[in-house]
Amino acid sequence: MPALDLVKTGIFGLDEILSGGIPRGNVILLEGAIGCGKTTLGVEFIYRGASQFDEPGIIVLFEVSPDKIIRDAQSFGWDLRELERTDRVRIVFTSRDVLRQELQQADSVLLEEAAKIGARRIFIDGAARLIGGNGTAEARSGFHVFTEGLHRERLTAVLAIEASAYSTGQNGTLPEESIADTVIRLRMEENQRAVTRSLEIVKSRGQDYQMGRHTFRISNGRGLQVYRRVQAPRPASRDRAAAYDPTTRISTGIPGMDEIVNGGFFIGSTTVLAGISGVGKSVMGCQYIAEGARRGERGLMLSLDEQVQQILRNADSIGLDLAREMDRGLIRLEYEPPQEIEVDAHFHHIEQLVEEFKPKRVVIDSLSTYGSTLGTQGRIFRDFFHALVALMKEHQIAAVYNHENPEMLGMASMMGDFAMSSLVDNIVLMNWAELGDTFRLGMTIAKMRANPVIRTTREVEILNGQGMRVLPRELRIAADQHPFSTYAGLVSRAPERHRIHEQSEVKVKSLDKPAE
Amino acid sequence: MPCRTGVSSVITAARCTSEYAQQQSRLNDISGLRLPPAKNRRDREWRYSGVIGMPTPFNDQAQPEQIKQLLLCAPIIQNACDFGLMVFLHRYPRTLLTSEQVSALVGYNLREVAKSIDAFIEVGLLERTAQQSMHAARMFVLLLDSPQGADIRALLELSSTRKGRQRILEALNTRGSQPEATPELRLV
Repeated sequence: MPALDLVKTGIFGLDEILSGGIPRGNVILLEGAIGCGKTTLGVEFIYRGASQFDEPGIIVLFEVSPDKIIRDAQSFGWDLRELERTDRVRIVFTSRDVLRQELQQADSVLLEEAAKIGARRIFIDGAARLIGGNGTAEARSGFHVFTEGLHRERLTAVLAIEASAYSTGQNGTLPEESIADTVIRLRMEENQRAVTRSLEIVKSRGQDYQMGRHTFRISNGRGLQVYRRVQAPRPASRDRAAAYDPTTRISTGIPGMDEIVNGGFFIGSTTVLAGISGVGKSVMGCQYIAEGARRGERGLMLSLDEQVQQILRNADSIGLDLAREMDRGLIRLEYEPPQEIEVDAHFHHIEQLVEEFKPKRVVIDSLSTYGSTLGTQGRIFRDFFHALVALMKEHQIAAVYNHENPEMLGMASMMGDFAMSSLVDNIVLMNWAELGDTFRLGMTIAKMRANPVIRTTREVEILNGQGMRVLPRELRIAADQHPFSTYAGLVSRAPERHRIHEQSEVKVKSLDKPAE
Repeated sequence: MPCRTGVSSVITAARCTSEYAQQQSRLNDISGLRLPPAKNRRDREWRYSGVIGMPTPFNDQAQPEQIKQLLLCAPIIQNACDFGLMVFLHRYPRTLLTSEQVSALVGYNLREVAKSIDAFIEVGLLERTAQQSMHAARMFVLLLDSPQGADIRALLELSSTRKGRQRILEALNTRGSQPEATPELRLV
């Protein structure tokens, strides 16, 4: 079977969604409301073709003047004037009547112009009302004749059409959609007070493509950037699947913790560290990454809560010089503000980081911030977390996700509203226990897939200049503080000392009591 | 009245290009402004594109005598219709339209516009595809890279503001020409 001749758009991320490009000669209907980015996409299609793929093109305008197109293109770094000078692009101003006639004639002046420069692409901006009528049979026939003219010349044509220009059918479609070979719909969607641009391949004859709405941006100096939606299936890497290692563990980097997690986390495992703010989740994350650097393993920390300088300062306070490890290329710290995260673009960014930096350890701080930004009730957050877990597992990364549990004392549930504990391999609970007049910190391994787990709460301390360590269960850290082993209910809101220990204390006190 | 066809126009254009440069320098001195020299061809073209360029003090402060000098260096622009057509073609340098459509967009009657088109073609400022029996529309391509184009650019820069265009039209009006060749003035 002959390979499909695909025209690459050259637009960032779009060819991936189109499984490589668009079949040559297809007529592409590009629809959307005012301001969606139709003209920008069409111009970039022509520009990329002329500058990257040696496929000259023609831009046909009915209303906008060429100098405005050239000016706007300049803001993206596209020099259309230069391409015009070197006969790789032609910008033609005409009227709809003229164009309609031209495409019906074998000796068309416009097509002759296209032939002169060897044009392979054409973009027609404002193709609405090109054929007149309003979805009538005559109008459809006229559009069909029009597209036949483009097919005959083997031009891959993009026709920009304003979605509001026609009344749509009952299912919200335009009449031309059934005639066009490829239909791309652009939208600007409101999300509370924010607006997100999305692109959907509604149909594309003769090829596979990724369905659904994909986020896209229009950036100065770059043009369009399309981000495949996070839920879209990704082809698994056979090489990575073949290299899967189910048994190797990596150290947590917390003194005393490796003993209670069977020697460390499996590579490729997913660990959630849950606890209220201030229990030391970020400290643990820093130590985890630093331990990797000490062993020559690359580590990535992505924070939505703290800027990089703050993370470095906090690490410094516990005696960790992460800046040095960054200079050595073993640690990478990234901060992304959580306001109005576009989940597809954000996931793409993480994917790029993982592909380029190839970390063995990743800390994400924090899941709860994602939840508050994306919402925990809808599909978006769940799908995003699924995709993130799958990405880390595919790259055999031992990932730790910090999660803020809102309960200060005790824990009634492991992950609260998130309800995704089934996706997670290991769950470590960090909680305060009020014992006497002191808040003391406890760690409990609540879950550890494929490992024996001793679910006893161990005391944890965090010391300046030293960081976090897990204490032996019998250790008494101060004269007036009993070890954790003498308490029950440490994860509840009302821990109490074991009766046997109370009774033995009373006996000791009574023995000490002087005889009357 | 300067002739706008034939050899004399070429000579006039060559002389006028260097004269324009001197003129530019004198204008800068008069206005107290000095435009930095164009760095390269692209910079020059952007500056002289006239449509994209922002209004400059030069545009608004050019005196009638200076405008007359510019018109002298661009003998192809004889009247308001010529000027209007040139501004239109500069905005739409590659246009596929019928003559009637061009006439409607420029704002002058068909006969005047046709005459201007023919004149531009004769001096090499404009290319037009041949008339076809099945096509009413013809492709018009403006050629500002020609020797005459250099002089036109200065005029187009001046025409990038309404005031500049007004002054050019006033200068054309007071120039005095053959009565039948002077169309009614319209601000483009």
